[in-house]
Amino acid sequence: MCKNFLHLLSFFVIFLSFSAEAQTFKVHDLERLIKNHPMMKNYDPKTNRFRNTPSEARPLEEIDAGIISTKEEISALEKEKKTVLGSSMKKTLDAEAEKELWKKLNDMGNRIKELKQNLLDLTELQATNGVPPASRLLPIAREILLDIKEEITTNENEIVLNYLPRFYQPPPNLIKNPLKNFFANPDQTESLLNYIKHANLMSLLFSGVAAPVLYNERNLNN
Amino acid sequence: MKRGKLLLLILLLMIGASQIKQAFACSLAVHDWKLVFFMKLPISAPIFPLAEFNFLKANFREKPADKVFWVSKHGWLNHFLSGFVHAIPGWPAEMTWNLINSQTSILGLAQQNSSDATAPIIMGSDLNFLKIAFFSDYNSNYSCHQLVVMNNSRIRGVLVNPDTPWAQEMNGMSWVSLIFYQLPYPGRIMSFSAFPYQSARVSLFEDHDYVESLLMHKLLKRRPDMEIDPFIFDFPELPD
Repeated sequence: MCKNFLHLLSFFVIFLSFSAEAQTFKVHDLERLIKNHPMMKNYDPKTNRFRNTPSEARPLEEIDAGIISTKEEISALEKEKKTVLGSSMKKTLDAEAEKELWKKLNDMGNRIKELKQNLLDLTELQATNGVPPASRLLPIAREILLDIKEEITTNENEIVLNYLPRFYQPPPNLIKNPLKNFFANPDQTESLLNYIKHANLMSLLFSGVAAPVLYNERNLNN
Repeated sequence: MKRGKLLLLILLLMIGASQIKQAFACSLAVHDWKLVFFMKLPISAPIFPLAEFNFLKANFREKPADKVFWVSKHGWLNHFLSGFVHAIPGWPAEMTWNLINSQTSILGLAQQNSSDATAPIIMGSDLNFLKIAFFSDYNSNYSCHQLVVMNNSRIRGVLVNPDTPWAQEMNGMSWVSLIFYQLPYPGRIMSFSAFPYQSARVSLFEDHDYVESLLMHKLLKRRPDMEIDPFIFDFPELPD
């Protein structure tokens, strides 16, 4: 039912780092732990988002109305700001009047900035039919993961194993970084160069590949 | 005079480093920066108008005027270094920068120039401070250090255009950061970065191989796999 979200969480948990000097081995059913987490009660399988969180989907009508009213408010404020500034330029201002003017202009400027950000957010939401981007799920996934980690680990010297994920999870698809094809053809120099180019990104995901393994020509010939 | 030389050295380093090919930001190590030294100095004017350059770019998509009058209590160093503003990529570099050594109100100055057909942008920098901070990394047993030189100022800009008059204020901030292992000499420098360039931090130099070797020898702490956000490598907020 919440397949996609479980995939996302599985991805994070699989790459949890644990000390190599572990004294204890434990096995947990991660899927059960995730399903039992209180946050999962808010999960909406239709939209793949969580209710009552910033990831919650919003009705399109509400978004359209919000865009119209925000645009109107921005336009009115910009007009007012120009009028205030234009009229001030026609008279001599003492220090106090100038201070007041800057305060007024800053207040209006800050409000315009805030409204423009809202407009941008609403426009993005409109483009995705009211469903916020998947990046909004990351803080929630992290929160769930940290709760689970706290629940299942008692000290740092533990290795925690998960049952194999129920659903197949393909490797991350990085742009210009065709993981699946890296070792398909050893003559593909370009792929290897791409791999090296993205090595720093790769090592963020897989600590084991942080130190690249390079073979010299003699080893290859042997 | 001694302080002037120090500031000149920092700026020349910054300008020189801008010629270096941009490198990938280092995000492999995780630092726990502890502030070990901090100093805040009032200065008469920003050393280099990097934040002012960014202020213009952030407010206008294209060049709104041919001239910019930059008002502050400029010294000889500002007059000398402002020439290098034309070396920064972006349309503000194409403008003529006139340094006006004055404490006059910028609104008043804008009114004086309002009859000019080619009215300049009047930009003022005041409440200028230089912050120097030295951090040491707890995760590397205090062997990895970071030196930050930050310039804070209040920037105000006015453009007297009859159709679209414009005025804006913002808190300007620019900084350079040098991260090194034990001593700041070539071969031990891990990264050199600056802010702002295109409103963001830019890594001007980074010795990725050196960072890798320190990580392999466990002299630095490797970033845990859970933390995949590559943008969490800046220094903690400096005190006011």
